[in-house]
Amino acid sequence: MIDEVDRRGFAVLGWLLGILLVTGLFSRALGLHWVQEVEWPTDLYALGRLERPLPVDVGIVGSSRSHYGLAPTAVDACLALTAGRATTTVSANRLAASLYASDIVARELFSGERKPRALVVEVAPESLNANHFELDYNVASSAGLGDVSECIGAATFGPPSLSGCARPLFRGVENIAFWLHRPLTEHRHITWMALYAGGGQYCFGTPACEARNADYDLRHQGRWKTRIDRVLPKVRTERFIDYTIEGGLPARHFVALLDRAKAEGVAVHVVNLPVSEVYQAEVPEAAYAEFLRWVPETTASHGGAFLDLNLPEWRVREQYIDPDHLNASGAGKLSARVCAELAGSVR
Amino acid sequence: MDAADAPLARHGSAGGVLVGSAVRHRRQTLVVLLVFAAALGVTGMTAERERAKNQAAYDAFLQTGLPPPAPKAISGATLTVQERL
Repeated sequence: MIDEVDRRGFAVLGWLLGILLVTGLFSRALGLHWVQEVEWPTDLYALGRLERPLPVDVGIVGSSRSHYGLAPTAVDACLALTAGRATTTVSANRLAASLYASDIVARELFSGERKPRALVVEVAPESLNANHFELDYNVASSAGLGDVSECIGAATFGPPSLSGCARPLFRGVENIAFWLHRPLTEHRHITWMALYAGGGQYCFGTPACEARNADYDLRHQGRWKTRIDRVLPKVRTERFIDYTIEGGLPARHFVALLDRAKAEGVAVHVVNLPVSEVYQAEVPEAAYAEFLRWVPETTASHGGAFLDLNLPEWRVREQYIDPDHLNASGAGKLSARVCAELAGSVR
Repeated sequence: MDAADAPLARHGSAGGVLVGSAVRHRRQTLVVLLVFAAALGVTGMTAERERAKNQAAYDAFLQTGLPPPAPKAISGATLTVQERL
């Protein structure tokens, strides 16, 4: 029997749910759903709300690897030569992004009225793992209300967790709390990069950028050893555990990204970014073989172009700030290489 | 008397309790909604202010081609964060 006290309890819960949902919708309407406890690597709020007089030429999505390895200013400097005009490249990356998060970022920032001429999509074997080690975080950081039902469907068979799927329903409160708590980690710096350099870690072409790059790499000199000690021992057991691609949320979203881009006439360049020799040695051969079988085939059958740059000539220690992230020198070279690939898509 | 009814009984007769309680709850709900609306309003204003500031800075950059000096690209917190990936 429901009595008055029960009714009050339900009313309190109803109000709470309503407030959380309204806060979520409000937060999304303001673009604050991009504000996370960790804004690094990209200030997606600044990028997402910026109005540009001309469309973006090249969009880049991926994780910290594309954040380090692909410098929009270097891509633009190179593209301007082939296109005969100034171009705009924008890089929007998510921490620990699988293709699930990358697709959502691309869907929200680089489609519809904001579609670029070309889209560069970073892929890595771990970013397509159905059992991606940060899939819950991917959902928590990127999924929208419309993604909840799909997430719950996937959660009944495997990762992500059901509690992770509920996060987008109530994330508005935490987005707003983080927003009001600003400035968060390195906020001013990443906003500066978002506004004046198209995002990414490194920028080129001005003395200020070159000084920043040198300063950053100098201050991170210890990062190579630190991550060899802390990250490499966990690569096999954490990032490649139960490795499988097909049927997982990242693979499904990768295909969705390709199909959407094809329907919108956006040229998609799927790039397997390089990692150092020591990191590659930790990638299980069977997993890497499956990755190299599935990605080029799927990319081609959905209208994209695949570029494999994880080749021995790109794996030299001097180009890396840590085992799987390029430094400024490596980023300059890689950006020029990717630019050469984009030349046909950006006129 | 059920223990759950005890707080209500403190306010007098059954009918008076319900009427007084309903009024009190409406007031409480109103206060919560006002606080909620105020919080959203403050958030909306700060978000809009930052958006406008960013847009003005970007527009100025397009006009001149010159970005302002870059802030330092490092902090202790960032180093910790970047250990994650």
